[in-house]
Amino acid sequence: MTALPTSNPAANGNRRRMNLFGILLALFALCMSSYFLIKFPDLYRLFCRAIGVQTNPNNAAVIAAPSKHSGRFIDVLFEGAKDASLPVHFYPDQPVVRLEIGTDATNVYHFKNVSDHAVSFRPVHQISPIAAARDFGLKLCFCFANQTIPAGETRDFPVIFTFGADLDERINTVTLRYTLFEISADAPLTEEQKRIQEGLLGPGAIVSPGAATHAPPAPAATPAAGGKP
Amino acid sequence: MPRVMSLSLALILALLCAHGTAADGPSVVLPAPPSATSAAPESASARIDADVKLFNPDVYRLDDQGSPVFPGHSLFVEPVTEVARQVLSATWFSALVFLPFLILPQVLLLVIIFKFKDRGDGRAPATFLTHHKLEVIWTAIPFLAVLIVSIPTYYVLEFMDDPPKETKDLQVVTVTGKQFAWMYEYKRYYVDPNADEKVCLQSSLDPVNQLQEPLLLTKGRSVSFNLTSQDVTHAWWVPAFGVKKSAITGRFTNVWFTPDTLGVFKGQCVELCGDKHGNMIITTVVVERDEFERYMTLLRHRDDTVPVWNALQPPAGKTVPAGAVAKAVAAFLQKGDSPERQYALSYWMASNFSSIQRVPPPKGSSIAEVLGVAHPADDHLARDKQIDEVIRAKRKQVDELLPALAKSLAALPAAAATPILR
Amino acid sequence: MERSAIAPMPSLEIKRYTGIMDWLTTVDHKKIGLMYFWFTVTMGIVGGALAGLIRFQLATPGAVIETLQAAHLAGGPEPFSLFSNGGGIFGDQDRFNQMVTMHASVMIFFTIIPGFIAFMNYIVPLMVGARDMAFPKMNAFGFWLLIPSAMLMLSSFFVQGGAAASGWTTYPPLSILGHGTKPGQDMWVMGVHLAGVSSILAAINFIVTIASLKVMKWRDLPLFAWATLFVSIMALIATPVLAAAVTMVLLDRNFNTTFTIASQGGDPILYQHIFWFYSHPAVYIMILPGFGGISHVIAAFSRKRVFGYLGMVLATGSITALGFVVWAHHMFVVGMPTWMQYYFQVASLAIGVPTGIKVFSWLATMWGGTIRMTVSMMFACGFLCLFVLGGFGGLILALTAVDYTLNNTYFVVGHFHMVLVGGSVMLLFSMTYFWWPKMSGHFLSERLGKWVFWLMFIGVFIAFFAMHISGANGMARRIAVYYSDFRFSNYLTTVGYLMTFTSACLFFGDLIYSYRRPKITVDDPWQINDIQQSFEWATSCPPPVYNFAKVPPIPILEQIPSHDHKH
Repeated sequence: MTALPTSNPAANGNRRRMNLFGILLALFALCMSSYFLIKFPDLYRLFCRAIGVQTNPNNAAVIAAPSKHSGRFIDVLFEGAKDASLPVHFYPDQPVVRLEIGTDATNVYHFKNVSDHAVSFRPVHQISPIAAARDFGLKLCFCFANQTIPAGETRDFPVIFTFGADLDERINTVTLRYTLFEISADAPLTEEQKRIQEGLLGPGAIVSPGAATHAPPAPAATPAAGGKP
Repeated sequence: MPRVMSLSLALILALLCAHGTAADGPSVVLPAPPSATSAAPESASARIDADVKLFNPDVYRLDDQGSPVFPGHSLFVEPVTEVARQVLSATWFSALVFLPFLILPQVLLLVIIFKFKDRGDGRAPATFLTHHKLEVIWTAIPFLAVLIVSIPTYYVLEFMDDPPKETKDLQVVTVTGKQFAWMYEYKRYYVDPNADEKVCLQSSLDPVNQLQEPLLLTKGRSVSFNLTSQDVTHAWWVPAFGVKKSAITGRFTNVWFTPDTLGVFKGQCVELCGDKHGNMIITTVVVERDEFERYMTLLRHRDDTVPVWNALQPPAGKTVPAGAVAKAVAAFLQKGDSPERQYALSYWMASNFSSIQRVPPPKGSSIAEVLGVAHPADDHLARDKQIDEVIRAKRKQVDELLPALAKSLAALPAAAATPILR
Repeated sequence: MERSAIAPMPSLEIKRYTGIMDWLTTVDHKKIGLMYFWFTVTMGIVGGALAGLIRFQLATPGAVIETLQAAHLAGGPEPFSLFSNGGGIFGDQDRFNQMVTMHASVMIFFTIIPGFIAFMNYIVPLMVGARDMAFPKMNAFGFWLLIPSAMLMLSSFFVQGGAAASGWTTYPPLSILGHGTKPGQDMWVMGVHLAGVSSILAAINFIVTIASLKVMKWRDLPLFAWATLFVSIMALIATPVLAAAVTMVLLDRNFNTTFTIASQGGDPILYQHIFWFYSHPAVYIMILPGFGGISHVIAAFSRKRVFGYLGMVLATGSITALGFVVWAHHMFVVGMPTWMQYYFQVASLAIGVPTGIKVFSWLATMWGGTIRMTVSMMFACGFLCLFVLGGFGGLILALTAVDYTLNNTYFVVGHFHMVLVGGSVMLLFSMTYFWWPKMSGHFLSERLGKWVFWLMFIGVFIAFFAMHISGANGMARRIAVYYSDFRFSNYLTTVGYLMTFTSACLFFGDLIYSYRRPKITVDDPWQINDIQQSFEWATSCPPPVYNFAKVPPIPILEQIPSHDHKH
């Protein structure tokens, strides 16, 4: 056996204690950071927004901004897709909505359950180009909750949305797409939907009062309406 | 009752036509599509053939010996968009900047091997261990090269990633990948612009032959793609356009470009998506604006033409009852007999016949057998000619029916124009 | 001899097995290293054979869309094809995807990574003056884990639905499909887990061995040991991340989780980020040890000491660090924010700088030396030539805008084969020719070796340069049928493959035959150690169980001369 680089036992002990302390500190930091990330998911979202990844349809700042005429118009194209097996027929009332940036616009999606049993599905929102997502605010949407449509019935779900004034000047066409995925009637909400629902029900609601009133019964706005046939 | 009258009239007409004694109305030259620019008068079928060649490019052909005709030029590399051109110049620029770092080590290596090879002359090796100046130089210069390359490529990247600059007349296409086909949805072009539900025109697998249909683009018109997927991750790529994007479930990726050259451009799916990944090809055709609009018109009526095709081309082993073709054509015209609709019917029949030659026939048979051409397989020229004749005859069957039926339908009271045949 | 004056190590009291049981129970790092080596060579042949099936598919007319079409039109028989949906000799195109997946997996997890571990295992303890690895039993355990791992992966060909067919990248949702009915993918995941555990155990072992058993100071540590250390750190950090990624696939497949399922709020891109966080460092895990080894080869046969020791160590260190922050350049086309793509582009290009430092330092090491062109040295020079070429393609690929065109094409395939076969495999050959006399006590044939080298060099060049051409012309990777535009370049690749595989088989034969050659009786058969002063050449060939009678066996070489050090 060769001599270790440090042969002074006292120095060795010191070093070991320091090492142990460092390792414990690192472990503690790891645990704490995991805890905070889980406890406060907004931290993660803040990070995402900071680096330019906007994953959710709701930009609270855009929604909260007062309506203002900007004189700039863009086209919003609507489309829908679903699993081939899902017995729901749905389409946007208007495939193209011309919207003045800074003001709200409304479109309605018509749904019809073409089967003889109640159907539950989860609508997933997509927006393109992704650069538009940051300045997009969705005030009311059926994608805020999972939806159930009883056998043979129809539903009209409004979509109320707006764009912030910061929207890239070169964007003049935005596409919104809703994809329906079949789920069981008691499937839980996704994290995103939960967050939106909390916002809807709690203080600082994302849906502006104005939007909520001129919306029809708004089955999407409350989970109860969407959840029970 | 007008319904019963029109029904019986159409049936009689259909039967008459089926027996080849169609009312000899004046040979109607199909009106040119709305935006036709043809200077010289052409026959209708030549026009249709030209359109089929344009909109349904068939790259698979046989030569006299029966071997495949390979395209003489690569359908892939020539850049035809500003994006692709910028990428190409960025590639050459960076390659040029980096070239010394490719050449220098190779040359040095050769020099060293020949210069310092041990020739057994007892030469003592050098003993230097470091050379700080040299080391700084060969750290700094590559670093500089990286910086030099990074600056212009940033602008290319920005140009590609930002939304298109000209957005006045942007064509928006939603591209959906699925195993193993692409679905193109032409936004703002509707099957029925007056209906409550405005369904966008789509092309994917063609409904009769299940072949991937081409994507039509307009020369000089920016196109913005929204890509997504129904099942697994795919990636859409046409090299000539210089763009590639993944199509991912639950995501909407975006890409744009402006094709500025007419022609056919090929590509393929570039993300492993299952066993037939290699077969998931992409064909894009860049056409003039009027041709594009014409194709949209054709697509609008395509689904209605399927029954006629089924009557013409029964599934293998089944025969069609007499008069079926005429009946199907009559049904088609019942839903509308405008010239563009008649043109669409003729076009799709021709196009389907063109496609059928690309469909693998049932195992153990050939296209000749499917079409009932009895000719030895080794005489390709004669066989091909005969196939051609059969196809022409079948197409003629439809084309001849059209004007006569249209005329008789036009004579009916307006109330009879409701669909009565299925 | 100096050593004879010293009493040999007392023989151990433990009863030792002999014969096969000795190999099965050994904890000796040299024997384990040899077992790693033979495992690697065997797996290399298996992986090469899988590649052969891919190459033959792509060289036959049955893979060219136009000829297939011609057969359809003419009603003739389908052209010869190994994998075709119309009934190929070896199965359908799904089987082709299985070949692609398993070729990559076998080559990465069972050939190149353990190939370097073989040398690290054998040489590093010798180099640092240790009598064995720090944890000899763990070392043995790590090796024996690889056997079930390889068995799991390879036997999955014979289960229902065949082996994993979603590429070695295993991107969901494709890898999620067929859950419950096609266990091949699950077996693949478990195989990767075992290989990963083996890799982590080896990494811990190397780090501890180097840190605590070395007899020299850090600044005198040989370059191969440095490379081993950096690679082990890399493997230790990255491999658990790979385990996390493939576990997500496993859970999504079997336990109804939704990490990657978009309809349930998951995201397929999440997997890609996590996967590449491992797999980019894995690229360096597959080449950095060779970088270390080649420094010894080049120095030895140039009769010089390695140039710019400090620069070399720092360059290896910065490659290690940078390797962790460039992963997303594998996935430029999934749609990331522009600045993020740009960052990954610049960071990826920056890796070229330390790599350049290493290349130039090797050239400077050769400069002024008296170069002996042994086969080992030829492979080292061949490596330099091909690696620079492959690296050039890498620089082009790192440019995001250009990658939008080249991503997932044969250009990428050509690039990474050029750096993995032209780089890592050439390095492995070079190291084998260099250290085989030490490891086995027998020389490899220099005469046959020249054939092995030239066949491999030319074959690799042809095969993978042609792949670059296919890709630049627009050929996507992982396809079983392609347009006729790429016929010629695919023929070339197959020709190149044949040469490479022939060369590998010659080498395999030579390895076996080498045991019949006379035993080496000297410590330093290459007669290099007067300058290198490396410990492994200061003990017998092969070394005794206890490695050295006296530690250190020869004076420790001062890597950075003191006058230089002060500077």
